[in-house]
Amino acid sequence: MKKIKLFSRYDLLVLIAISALAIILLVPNLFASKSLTATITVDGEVIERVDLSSATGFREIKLESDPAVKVRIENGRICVVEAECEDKLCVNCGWLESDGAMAVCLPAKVVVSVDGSKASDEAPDVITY
Amino acid sequence: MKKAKKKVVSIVAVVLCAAVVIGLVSYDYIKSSNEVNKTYIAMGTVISSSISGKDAEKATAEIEEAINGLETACLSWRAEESDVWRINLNAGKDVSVSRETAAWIGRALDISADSDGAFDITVGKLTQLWNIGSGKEKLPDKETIKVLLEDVGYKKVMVSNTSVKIDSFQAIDLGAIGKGIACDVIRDILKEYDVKDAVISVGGSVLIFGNKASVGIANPDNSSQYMATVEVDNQSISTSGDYERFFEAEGKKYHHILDPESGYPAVTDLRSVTVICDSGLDCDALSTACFILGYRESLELLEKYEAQAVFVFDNHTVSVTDGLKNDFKLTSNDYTVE
Repeated sequence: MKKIKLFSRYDLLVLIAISALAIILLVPNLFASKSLTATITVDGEVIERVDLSSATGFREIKLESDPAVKVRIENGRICVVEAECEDKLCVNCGWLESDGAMAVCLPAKVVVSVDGSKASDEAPDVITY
Repeated sequence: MKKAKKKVVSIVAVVLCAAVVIGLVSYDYIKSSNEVNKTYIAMGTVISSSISGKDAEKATAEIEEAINGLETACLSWRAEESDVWRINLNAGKDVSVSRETAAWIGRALDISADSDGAFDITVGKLTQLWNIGSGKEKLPDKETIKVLLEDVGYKKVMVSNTSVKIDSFQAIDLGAIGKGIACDVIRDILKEYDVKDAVISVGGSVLIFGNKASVGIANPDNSSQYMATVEVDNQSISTSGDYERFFEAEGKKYHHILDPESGYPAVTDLRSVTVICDSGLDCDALSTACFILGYRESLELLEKYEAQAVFVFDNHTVSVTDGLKNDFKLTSNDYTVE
């Protein structure tokens, strides 16, 4: 029985080249979308972006806000650990470790937010409250 | 002949593969490169915006500027020289305001009339008396509430295209519709730019611009979580609930949604009402009105404004208006749909 050859050797080379190119271009983005990034802003100005996925160990950042706010990063998560405001709502938010999580200190105009991949495909884009 | 045919098939296959791969890569690249996300504080609340499209950067910057201007020039009762501040300061006199402010107040009065006063912007002095959410709340005495109630009444407010006049002892407060107004202003800005889609939250009042998006409805028992999702297509969505701002005194919980008839937080079997319609202002005003009116009395009002709603009751049941049934999905096992 004669074998049916759909692709010639050159066609296969072209296909492999295209696939390799696709992998090179897509793979970094696929990995990027799985990462979690925390953004710390004071009065709209970005103070620091932290890649939580690769953050190991323990670090604290004292923000120059009024009232003063201190942020802690520890093993892939972030929280507001101290705030000299009255209600401490931001501190009570606890650890932020998933996409969309946020701690806000309105008097200090501090926002700590986490962006990255959605927790699941069913997770909403935004929440009304 | 056979060989030539085979060659054509293999060329088509290669071209198709290439097209799919290039399409995927381009889509991924375009999607990621033109999206601008920003979270900041303005109007005393958190604004989160996610805008994609060629002009995402420019639109984001203009929106931030406009929101700050909106608060200081028009809406805030605290900001000196704002339209609302001047209306309250000159109570009893005609006060010139921007056309926009006059139109927003006019629309608010329409909803006041249609809700039979359940929504009323003239509760300003009562809101200041209760001051719920300030962290310094205390239970006001009955007599003071009674005296201030005498001046509440949307019918005493006169609006023309460029001026507003309130009664001598009245004060207006646009706090209940400020976030929705901001959503409307943002939508007008987005229309001016080459923007594909946007999801904007102004302190929980949300604008969905362009593509459909999934919006979570806050769980009244734990507002950092959601208890249901609803698909929203190019509209606004707002929620009024008893969990947003409240304080406790003498063993009782007092939430921030004041009933203009009693002067006290509305007594209802609802925990929250979420409203979806074209205008952010309407969504905000209707969600407040529906929370005060209760489920049955709200339906006619919602119909008049072509709005849909989700009612969450204190017995953990949920009611959804007919137009929303296909787009609504309960995600928490703690609730059941009626």
